[in-house]
Amino acid sequence: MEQVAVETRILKKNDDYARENRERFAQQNLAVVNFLSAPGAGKTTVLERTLRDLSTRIRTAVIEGDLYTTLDRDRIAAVGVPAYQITTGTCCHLDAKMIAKALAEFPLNGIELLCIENVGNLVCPAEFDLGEQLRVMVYSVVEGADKPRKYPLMFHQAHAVLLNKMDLLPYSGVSLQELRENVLAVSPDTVILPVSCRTGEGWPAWTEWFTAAIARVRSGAPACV
Amino acid sequence: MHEAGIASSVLEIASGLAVERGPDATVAVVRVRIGEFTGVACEAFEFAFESLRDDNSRCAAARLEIERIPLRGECSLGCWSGAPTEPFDLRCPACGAAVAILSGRELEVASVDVNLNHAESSCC
Repeated sequence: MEQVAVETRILKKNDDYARENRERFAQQNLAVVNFLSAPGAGKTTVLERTLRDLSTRIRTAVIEGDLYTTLDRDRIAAVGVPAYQITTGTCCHLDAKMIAKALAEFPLNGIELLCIENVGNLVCPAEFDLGEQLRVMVYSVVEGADKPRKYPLMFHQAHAVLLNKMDLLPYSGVSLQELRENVLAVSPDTVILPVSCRTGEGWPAWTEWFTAAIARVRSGAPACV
Repeated sequence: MHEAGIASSVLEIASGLAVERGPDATVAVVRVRIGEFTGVACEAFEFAFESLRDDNSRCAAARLEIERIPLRGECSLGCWSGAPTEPFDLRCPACGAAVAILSGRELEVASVDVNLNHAESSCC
């Protein structure tokens, strides 16, 4: 019997791919954002509206991740932004190798911003570094005030948390103050931005923060000030 | 439910060590460290490991030992260190500033016991 000291990260392979992705993004001076949420929180709708506002000023491309269908790619393409769909089959998250494979097929020449919409899931995607510099979580207020405490890791990993569907807050029975408090408990430095894609509430604050964050990471600075 | 992927990576790392040690080498024990502040549920991970090891000739008899690492942190302003007073509350209990994580994010293979031949394996 031989005892072998290993001391290796279980996700070392993913980390290696993520590092290669990150180096490639830096060489291209590309800002890369990982959008995370539960299914149905409004990631694609947030992206559609954000891209309508920003894509005339910032050359943007999108990688979509879903278990099945190319519905989200088609929605993004309808906004006039190049989009690539990864269908994971049964896999509940994107990993860095899937992104590396997509990059081989999806030309990003001249692109300044790459948005990656992860598979809708509050747990698994938080554990897989894709090589991105920025993580934005979309959380709909109707999911309740308690979820940051129940799914702390994803909130903790996010540089910004959009509290989406603010137009539904009056019907939800959710206390915005309690929700904010729970987000800040697990992620004290996270930027919290209440928005509604439908009414435009909070939208200028989000696009202002996002534009500044993109500029920061493209200049090699940390994602948050 | 990415515990299957995690278990599969662990089995790949462990069986790779056995392969390096010759055609008859097999894995007896795999020791992993799983931090409290990871997305990995230990029971689901154990179940995935036990389900997947049967398909891995080098690890079919491998035993999994999990060391759970508690979440600990220190105040970013330096006034406190320890375990959160409320689960996953990462604000300093003394001053409210953000807490930097010291441990609890581990997802590591610590060590692997390899039987160098089948005879050794069968007599154990």
